[in-house]
Amino acid sequence: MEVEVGRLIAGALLTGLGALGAGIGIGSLTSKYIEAVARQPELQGQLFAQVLIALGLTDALPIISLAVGLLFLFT
Amino acid sequence: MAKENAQNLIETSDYIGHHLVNLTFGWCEKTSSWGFANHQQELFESLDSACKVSEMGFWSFHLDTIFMSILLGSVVFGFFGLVNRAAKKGVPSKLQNFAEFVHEFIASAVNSGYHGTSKIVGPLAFASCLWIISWNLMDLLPVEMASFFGHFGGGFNYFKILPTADLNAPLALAIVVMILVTYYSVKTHGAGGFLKELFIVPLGPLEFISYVSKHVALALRLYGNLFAGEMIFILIAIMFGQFAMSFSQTLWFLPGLILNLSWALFHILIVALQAYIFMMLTIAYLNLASTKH
Repeated sequence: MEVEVGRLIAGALLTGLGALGAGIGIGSLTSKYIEAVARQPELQGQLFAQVLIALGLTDALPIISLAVGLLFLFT
Repeated sequence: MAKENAQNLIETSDYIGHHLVNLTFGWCEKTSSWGFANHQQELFESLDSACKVSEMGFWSFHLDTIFMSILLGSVVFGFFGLVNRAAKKGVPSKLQNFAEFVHEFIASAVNSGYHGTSKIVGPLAFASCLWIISWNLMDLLPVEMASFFGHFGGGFNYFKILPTADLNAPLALAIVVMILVTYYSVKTHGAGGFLKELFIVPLGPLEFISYVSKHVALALRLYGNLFAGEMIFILIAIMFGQFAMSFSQTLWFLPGLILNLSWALFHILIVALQAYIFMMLTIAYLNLASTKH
C-alpha cells in the first residue's frame, strides 16, 4: 500500500475512533450525573463541578487524537 | 488551474508546517556558532549560514515561548500585585473585587482539596491556574497575527504566540509538580516508605509506572488540548483562504468570521477548563503525597 493512503487511513481512524470512545464516555458520565441529580437535586452544585472536571479529562483524549489525525491528514 | 496556482500559493502542508515552528535560537553543529534556526528556506529568503532546527542539538531555546511566558506572567502577577498594593479598607474598587473573587475561588478549591500542612500549595495553585489561563488566552488571538507582526515588524519568520502549544512549557510545569510531589512524599513517608510505596505495594511496579505517567499525562493533556485548538484555527484559516480564492472575492471574510467565532466561543470553555483541571490535579497529587494513608 502506498504511504500516502496509509497516512490518510491512519488520520481518519484517529479522528473517528477517538470521537467514538469519548462519545460513549461522555454519554455515560452525563446520564449518571442526571440520574444522581434527579435522585438528590440538592447536590447539583457540588456534582456539577465534579462532572465538569471529569468531562474535561474525558474530552482531552479525543481532541488530542483529532489534532494528531488532522496533522496526519494535512501535512 | 490548481497547478497554475500552486506556484503562487503556499502549499497547505507548508502553511501548517510554518505555523507549528517555534522561533528557535541555539547551537548549530554545522557552523559551530550560536544562531537562529531557519527551517523552510524555500518559503522565505534566509541566510545561508542558518541551521535547520533538526540539525540543532540539545542547546536550542524556543525564544518565543520563553518571551511570551515571562511577559504574560509579569502582566498577570503584576496586575495582582498592583491591586494588592492599592487595596484599602472601606468600599473595594472593581479591580479589587475581581482579584478577591479569583482569590476566593482558588482558595476554596485548595481548602476543599488539600488536607496537608504545607503552605506552598495555595500560591502554587494560584500561580499555575492564572499563568496557564493567560497562556491559553493567547490562542484566541488570530493565528496570523503573531507571524504577521513578527515577519513585517521584527524580521522573524517564525513566532508562536501560544506557549502551551509548545510541549516544553507544560512539561516544565509538570516537572515542577513532580519534584514537589516527590519532595512531599519523602517528607511524609520517609525515603524508604516512598520507595516501598512505589515498588512493593500489591501491584508491584505498576505504582511506579502510574507515578511517572500521571505527570507526563498532566503535561500532555494541557499541551494536546491547546495544540489541537490552534491546529483547528489554522485549518479554518486555510479553509476560508481557499473560499476567497475559489468563490467570492468580496465576501471572503464571511466564512472565516462564522467558523472562527464559533470555534473561539467553544474554545473559551477549553481554555478555562484545562487551566482549572491542571490546578485541581496539582492539588490532588500534592494532597495524596502529603497525607498518610
